[in-house]
Amino acid sequence: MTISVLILAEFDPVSVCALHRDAIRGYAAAHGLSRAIDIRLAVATAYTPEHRDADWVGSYATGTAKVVGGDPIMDFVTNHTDPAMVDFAESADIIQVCPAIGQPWASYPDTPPGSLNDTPHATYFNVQWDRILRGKKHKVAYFHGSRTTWAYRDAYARFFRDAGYVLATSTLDYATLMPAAYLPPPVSPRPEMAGRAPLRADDDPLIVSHTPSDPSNCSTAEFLAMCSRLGIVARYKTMRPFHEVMTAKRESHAYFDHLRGSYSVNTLEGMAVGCVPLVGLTPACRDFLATEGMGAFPGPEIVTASDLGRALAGLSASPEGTRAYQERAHRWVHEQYASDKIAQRLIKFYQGVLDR
Amino acid sequence: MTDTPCSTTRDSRPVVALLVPCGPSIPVPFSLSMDNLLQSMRPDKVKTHRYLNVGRHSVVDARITLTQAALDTPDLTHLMWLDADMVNFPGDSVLRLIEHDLDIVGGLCFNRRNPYMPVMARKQPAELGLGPDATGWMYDYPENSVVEVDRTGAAFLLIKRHVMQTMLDKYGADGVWAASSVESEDFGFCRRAQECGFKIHVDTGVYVGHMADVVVDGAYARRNRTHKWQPWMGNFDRAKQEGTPVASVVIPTYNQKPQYLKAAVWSALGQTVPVEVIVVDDGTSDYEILDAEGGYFDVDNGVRVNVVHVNVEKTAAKTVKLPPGARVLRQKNRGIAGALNTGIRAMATNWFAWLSSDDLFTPDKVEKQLQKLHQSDAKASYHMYDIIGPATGDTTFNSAPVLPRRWSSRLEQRQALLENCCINGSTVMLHRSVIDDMKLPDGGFFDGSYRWSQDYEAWLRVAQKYDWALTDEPLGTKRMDDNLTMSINTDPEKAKLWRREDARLHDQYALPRCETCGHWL
Repeated sequence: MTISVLILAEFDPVSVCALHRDAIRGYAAAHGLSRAIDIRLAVATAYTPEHRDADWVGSYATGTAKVVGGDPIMDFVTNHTDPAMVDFAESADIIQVCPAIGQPWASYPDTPPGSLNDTPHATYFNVQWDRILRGKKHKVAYFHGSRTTWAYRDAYARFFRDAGYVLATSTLDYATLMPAAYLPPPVSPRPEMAGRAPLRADDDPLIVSHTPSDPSNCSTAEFLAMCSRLGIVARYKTMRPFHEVMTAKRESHAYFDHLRGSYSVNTLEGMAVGCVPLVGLTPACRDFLATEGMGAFPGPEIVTASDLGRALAGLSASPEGTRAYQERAHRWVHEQYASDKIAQRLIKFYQGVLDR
Repeated sequence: MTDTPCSTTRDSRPVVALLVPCGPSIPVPFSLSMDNLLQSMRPDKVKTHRYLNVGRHSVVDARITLTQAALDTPDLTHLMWLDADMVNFPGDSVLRLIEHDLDIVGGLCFNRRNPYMPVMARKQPAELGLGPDATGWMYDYPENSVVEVDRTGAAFLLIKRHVMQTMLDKYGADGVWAASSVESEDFGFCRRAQECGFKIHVDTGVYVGHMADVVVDGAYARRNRTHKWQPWMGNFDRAKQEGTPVASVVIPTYNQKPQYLKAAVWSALGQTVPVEVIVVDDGTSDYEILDAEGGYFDVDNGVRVNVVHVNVEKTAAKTVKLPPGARVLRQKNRGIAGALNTGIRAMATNWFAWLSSDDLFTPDKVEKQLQKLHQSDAKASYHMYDIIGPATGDTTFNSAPVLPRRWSSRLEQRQALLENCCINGSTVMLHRSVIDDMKLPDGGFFDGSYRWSQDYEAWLRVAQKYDWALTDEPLGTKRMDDNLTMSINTDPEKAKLWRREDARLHDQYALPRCETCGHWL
């Protein structure tokens, strides 16, 4: 049996979906399954050069892309007219959309969730897409966390479930609370995750990096104050280019993400280069990892700010303990978030969607 | 026939045109203040002409008309602008401005609305990345001083005739006072004056009241200001993009615990803005400090030394290799002052920051402290810090010590400093111009004849001429683990020597005291 999947995405989720597509293609090629799964990615609205790696890039195809300051910044796209893509969409077994980011209600957090009911399935696509989506039997709504979707997650979940979508997500919090199928990005092997933070030597100070996009949402002030009061070196960067952020992680022994109850891709990237993960994780998220067969989370148990303080103090006092955590985290993430493993998870998920 | 002395001696009195742009009516309080001013003007000192432009016109039009009228006045030397909503200006204020003999000099006025900005502004430094014309209000101006500024208002402003003539020739009458949606006519005038090479000053001792429901002057502004307007906070975008260092962090070190030294270096390198990190190895004998390339700069011989270890295993334990980005300068032991002076001489930026090799900076220390410095226009600054106890596993969080919030005068500043050296070295940032201005006869900034109080002496020296600005949040960590303070407290011999230094320092900088009550005079 062949599974054909079209992923419609825009902005941030594009990167994760492109990694999924490549993981599946790689896995399929390695296991002689290239005819068994056909997964393609269409981008409605993009803003980084890497989005060009999609199979169909909306406004590039239609020639309406604008280039601002060297980066392609696309206009709102309403005319996906590539005939090949439309044909694929009509015939695809599954269409996956990535709600929230870029959609009108997501841009305005004050908009009451009730307005969701008045909005078409995927407002960023034109009527033709709406028709195709409504007619599809197998549909997936894939959530890549953002503050706006988080605020209205119950309304989103209800809306898409009622419209016949299967819910999936890239993040642990949605996976446990929405709930939704956990389809994280693969971490290994990826060239940008290469290199490794040094194992902490006995005479090394503890260095902890922290690279939030939104410091007000990531307990940044508390973290920096704790480091100051514990004599720990904090490497703090916000809104800096990806390569700079990865360099900071490679120069650290630990990485602090936030205290919101689950971890973001930042934690995975930190572990990928050998940082101890410091992140507030709810017991539900820890249990979820175990039930998903991913084993125990390889970082200190942290839920609250005082847990974080204790974890920092403990690591600071123990270079040996830091090294042990570093090794464990590195091993775990490269096993559990390996490209092949994620590809298998995705294929199993899409087969499950078809079996519904 | 001979002329009388009176007719042959050229009249050297300045000729000043008092120029008053005004709306449809003249406010009575202004008339009274003007009357007071005119009565105080001594005819033997200055000759005045008065021009008043009353009507329903824009202030720009009024200024253009008055400028042309003034320049038609024979022998005119100065144009003195007085806006009709200015009051309570001291009678001698115009004479005082004239005596400064400056191209453009004004009195100190305040905006009428909270936060009652002093109407004088400074261009923001390029490293803030705010664009070439971005300016910030100068809230923390020195009292009773003539201050050079980049922008000021024309509400109480004295301009020499040749300045105005030069500008008229270049920009035309309309152009001199042109305003735009982003620039008022007086700020535009200042920008153009600078383009012509003229400097602008404000005498902060000439307080001028600004008429609103109440008269807003310096005292009113200080009393009622609820916040400071900070629209021009830079984000150092340009420096971050280009990687250009905005400050130099000097880390003197001598036989420091390697873990502490590395922590200090990492905390300096990990700043949110690019900085230059200079480690001055003051003859460390316990181990060898190397930079990331495996060498150091030998200060005494002026050569780069690349260290090649033949037996790596044996020497590894005796080597501390610092991360990329830190320069290592090595010299024979000269004490902290000598090491700091070496670091200062090697600085490539204009801002000096000292970091003791057992202390830490928070990641945003340099960015936050520099922003505050730029905003207040101060050139010397310190901040609060956290203290951590001995490394015994005790992780009690300590609060930062409370420092004086603000010193209202240099005298008070000096008194406060004499009573307690509340400025910790690792919190200090100084502009290169202060260091150059206040350096010692031997060319160094820190006095090597002091073994332990070289910092205290330097802060007192700076306090004689500059204001110390406090950044009121903890931006660093000080370890009380076997450091100098601890060793002085526990070693009687050191304590004795330290007291001797302290007495010497007080002799050097003490202010006279009242014999009766003991207070500083």
